[in-house]
Amino acid sequence: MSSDTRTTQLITASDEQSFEATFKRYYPLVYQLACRCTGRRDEAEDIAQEVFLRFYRMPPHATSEREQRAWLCKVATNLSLNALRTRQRRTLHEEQAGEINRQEMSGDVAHSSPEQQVIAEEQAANTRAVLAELPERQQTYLLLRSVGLSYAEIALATGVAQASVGALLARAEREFRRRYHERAIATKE
Amino acid sequence: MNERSQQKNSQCLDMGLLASLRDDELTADETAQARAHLALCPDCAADERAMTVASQEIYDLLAELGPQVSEIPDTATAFVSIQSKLDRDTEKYPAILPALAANRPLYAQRNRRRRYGWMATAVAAALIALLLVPNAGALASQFLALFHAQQFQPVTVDPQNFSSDLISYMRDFGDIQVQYNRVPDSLNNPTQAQVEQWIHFPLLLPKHLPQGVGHTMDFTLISSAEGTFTFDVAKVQAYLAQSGQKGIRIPSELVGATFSITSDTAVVIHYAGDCRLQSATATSLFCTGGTPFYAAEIPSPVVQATGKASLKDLRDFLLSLPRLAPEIRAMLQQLDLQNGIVPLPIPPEVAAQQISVHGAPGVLLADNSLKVGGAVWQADGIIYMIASVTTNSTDLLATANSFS
Repeated sequence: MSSDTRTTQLITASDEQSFEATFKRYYPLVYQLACRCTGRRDEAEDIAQEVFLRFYRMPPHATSEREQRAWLCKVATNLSLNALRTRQRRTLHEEQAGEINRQEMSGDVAHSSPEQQVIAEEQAANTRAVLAELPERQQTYLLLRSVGLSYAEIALATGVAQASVGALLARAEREFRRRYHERAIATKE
Repeated sequence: MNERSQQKNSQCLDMGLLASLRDDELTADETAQARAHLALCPDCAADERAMTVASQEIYDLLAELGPQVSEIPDTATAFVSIQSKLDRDTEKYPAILPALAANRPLYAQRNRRRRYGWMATAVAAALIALLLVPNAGALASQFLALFHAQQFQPVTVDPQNFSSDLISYMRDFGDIQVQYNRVPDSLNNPTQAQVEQWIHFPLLLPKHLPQGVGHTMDFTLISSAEGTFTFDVAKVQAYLAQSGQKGIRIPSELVGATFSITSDTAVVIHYAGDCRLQSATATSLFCTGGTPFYAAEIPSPVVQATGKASLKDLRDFLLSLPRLAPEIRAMLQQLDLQNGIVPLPIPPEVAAQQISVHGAPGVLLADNSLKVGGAVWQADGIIYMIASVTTNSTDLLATANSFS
């Protein structure tokens, strides 16, 4: 999960060519982040497009690649969490109205057998449920780290001091692990 | 870990420091100091090991959420999509263009010259519409095979919201999954020979180009993709309730119906005066000079329906909805399933004229206010499109007819 240390020329949104280069370089990362957060590929595609539309319409004042990458990830995370909130509100409303039973949230990783697929989907659903229970700041730290952002980039994306990132991540990881295990025990019972 | 933490002395490493050590985020001096302490403190060493194991478990779980690399949409295709949206921006906010141009002259001015984005949108929307055309013979066997659009029928729509409306509608009715077969990075700027090797149809090139167009070609391969749409009754019921459409019967044959869509590799060709990499690190060619001219060659998608429902059943159900968006209703109504006539959505300010290209029916499009024009036609299962900054219909038709 090392940071992006390639020594390419700084890309800005100041012209068409560099916008295209930025898009092609970071689209997979932004999509991955949105997909991991929302659990839906169609929603992730929309979010990734929106991130780059915002980047084009109002480019950040980034003076380094690290700042640019952090900005893209920050916007992707914010939009993804917003989308999740909206969906959760809608699901609650619909469930209260008895209109639907559940929203589909399946894992994306292909598995060799139907049994493995079912287990993987259950595990992915558990992971997403636990993630959603965490405070949004902690969700953000874990998601950003999971797609390979360095502490400096996480600090830029979240506005915290770089020196605090380790402690914040450790706290988020501990909380995730505690809730995940509690959930596993409750499921067994 | 908590119990041990309470017994630690002031020199012990806190969790933040251990996390930083684990993630290689400490300086060399800090790392040396931390390692020296771990060598002497069994409690901290145990914490460090436990944290490493625990974090591995957590990030493995998060990685399992996906997506796999093969499931990430093709970047070139995604870029075409965002270009189309950005081009629509310049049409939507013409009054602020001068202000934008003052700040970002290169990009904004180029977009003003290239306001043919609606055409890409129209073609994209037409392709979506193509997915709804069944093969009549295959319908009988509940299995849809290769079909060819025979004609395009212009339908006036508002391009600002058409494509997103259609896609959001489909998402309200089921799940869409798409798998992209990525074009290798080595084909980022393919040569003509590489394109001909990669696509599965003969590459045709125009012998005649509109006046002022440069002769340097910049090829972009658009990856093939395989997708499925699965009708989801729960989603449909939620949508109907949310939109206040009551008493709608969902045909039983649509329950769980799945449609698979396969699109083969396509190519877009940009003609310019000169195309080159601007720096050693650049990944895309930068083209300048000459009147902008684009050609696209896109294989018709292949659609298969499994289960009890046909695509006609799906279309009929959509048309039965009283609150279906007018643009989508107009498009669906224009589909001629028997004769393969496919609606081509165009903005109201664009003039459309039926033409014949090498004997195949097509449509010539012209926007006199923007001075842009183009043509769309099909032949042998391939959809061809040209677009340029000209409304000279004779020139455009001559270009279309010169493809060989």
